[in-house]
Amino acid sequence: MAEVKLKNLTKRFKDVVAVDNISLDIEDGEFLTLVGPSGCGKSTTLRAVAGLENPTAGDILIDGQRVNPLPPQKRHISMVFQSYALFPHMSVESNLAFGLKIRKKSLKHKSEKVKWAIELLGLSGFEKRLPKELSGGQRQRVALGRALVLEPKVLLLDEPLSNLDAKLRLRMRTELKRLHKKIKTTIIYVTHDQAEAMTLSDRLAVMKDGKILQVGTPEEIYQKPADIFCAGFIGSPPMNFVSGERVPQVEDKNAMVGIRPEDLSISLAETKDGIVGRSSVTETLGSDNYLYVDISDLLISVRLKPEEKIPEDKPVWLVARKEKHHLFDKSTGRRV
Amino acid sequence: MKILKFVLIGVILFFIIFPLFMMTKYSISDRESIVTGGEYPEPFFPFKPTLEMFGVLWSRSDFMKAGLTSLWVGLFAVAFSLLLGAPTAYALARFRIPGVAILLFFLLSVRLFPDISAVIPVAELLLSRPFSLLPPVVLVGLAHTLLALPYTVYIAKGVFESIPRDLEEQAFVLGAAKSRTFFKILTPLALPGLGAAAIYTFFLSWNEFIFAYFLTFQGTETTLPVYLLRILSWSPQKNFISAISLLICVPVIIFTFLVQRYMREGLTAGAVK
Repeated sequence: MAEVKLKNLTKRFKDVVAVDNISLDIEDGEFLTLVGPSGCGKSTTLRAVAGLENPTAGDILIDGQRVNPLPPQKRHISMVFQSYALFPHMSVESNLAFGLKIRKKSLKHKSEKVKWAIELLGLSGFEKRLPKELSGGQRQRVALGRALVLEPKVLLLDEPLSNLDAKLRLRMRTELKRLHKKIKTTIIYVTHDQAEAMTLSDRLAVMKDGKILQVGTPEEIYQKPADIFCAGFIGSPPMNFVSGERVPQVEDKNAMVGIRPEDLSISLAETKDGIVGRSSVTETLGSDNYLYVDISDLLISVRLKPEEKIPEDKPVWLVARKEKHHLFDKSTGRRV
Repeated sequence: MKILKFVLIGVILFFIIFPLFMMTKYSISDRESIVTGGEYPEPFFPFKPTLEMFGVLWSRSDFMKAGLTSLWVGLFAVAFSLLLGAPTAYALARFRIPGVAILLFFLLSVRLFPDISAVIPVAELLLSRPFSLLPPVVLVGLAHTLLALPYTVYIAKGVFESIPRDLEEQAFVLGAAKSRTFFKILTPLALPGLGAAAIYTFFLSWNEFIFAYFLTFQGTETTLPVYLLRILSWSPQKNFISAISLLICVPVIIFTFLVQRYMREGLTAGAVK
């Protein structure tokens, strides 16, 4: 277990700045997620921590030690790749033991650790199988086990769930969270899936264009997004954005107003301070239903209570309490 | 349409199978079936099939020696072209090399020249010191390496490109040194593909005539195709020469069956979803 510090980390590939002067403190035992759209630099950051990329500038510290010049093995990290990268010609057992073998661990230690991983990850009975004889979820667990048997101080996970089908992804998400509770290793997790980031992490760092826009707990980022991009990226369906001049309650007409679908109340009768629109389609999810409302050129999503029924193609009035408004500067995108 | 298809397949099969049939037929013919003196037509199938010629060949040391020479030349060619070609291919597949497309074109363009135009300079080089000190088997092996190398590089490049880079990076993260990654991860995964390159090289060498002829015509050590020519110059009987031809084909057929299954295994399945 260890804390990880990134200090002014920059990575440039020729003319492209993949990671742009980011600083981040990750606490001991923390589950931190780097989340952002593809190409935002999250994977490059992770690879830099792993030792697969040389930073152009800045330092990476693990447990207070600067690890920039160290190869991965000496950083006490393990990494799970998106593709799992299981060695296809080796059995589950050999895959799990690969790193231990390199570290020249005793036979006893090796078999104990492999056994531990197999039990921890529910892979009993599959020891002799080849990766191609495993299901996607099992492969994923082998990859995780191969990383865990090395008892890393920091576990790096690069989109480990994105190759699984939707149902399995949800299950592995829970398993991963339980696993973290059990082993308490510092985890740096990379994903583009905001739901994964929200559900798994102690804290998350939202990245865009090589920069970290906001770091915080899922609640903080959801409730107080620091930036219009974070506001739109975290949450599903995404936050609605309306120009300030169209919202009667807002004084700053130059601001962009963000309102989450669940903070809007809807009425078929004219409401004070309400914005009028036309109900369009309803998406039924079971527990939640979302109604989409046309407001001239905008499509606004509104969460309906299960018992609430709004007919389609009718004039409706939308209103949100003022404290639920998120105001952003139109030019900088920062929260005001 | 269907009939036409079958007729077409029949015609194609005829062209493939008929020469093989004739070769086999002559090789097991008795004397009366081939030496007719124009008194009666040659029979479609020999009167008294016999394996006599194979027995004759088995006891001929020059034939056995040529066979062994061919085998060794083939193995040398395979070894040389893999030793040189696989690392080259790996480098071409993994590292960003400026002008790699031009390089690859030149590599293949070597084979655009007819062999006959390359054979004189190559023979000139290999038959003078220091190369001439090497045994002829190695010399011909080297010449065949020259012929096979462009293809070996091409095939092996494809093989290495098909192995996900993630596997190497994963091995690196787990602490494996480059050499371990190469021998424990890459080599086992590349083997089926490299096997294909090896088979290709071996067959090329086994069949190759021009270079083998120019490099060995003076000596006693020759490969089978050159041996076949020498025998032909004595105007031997059809059954004798056919038996030699048939025996030259046999290893090719056996080898193909042996290694093809291995090639098809597709070891990389399951590495990356």
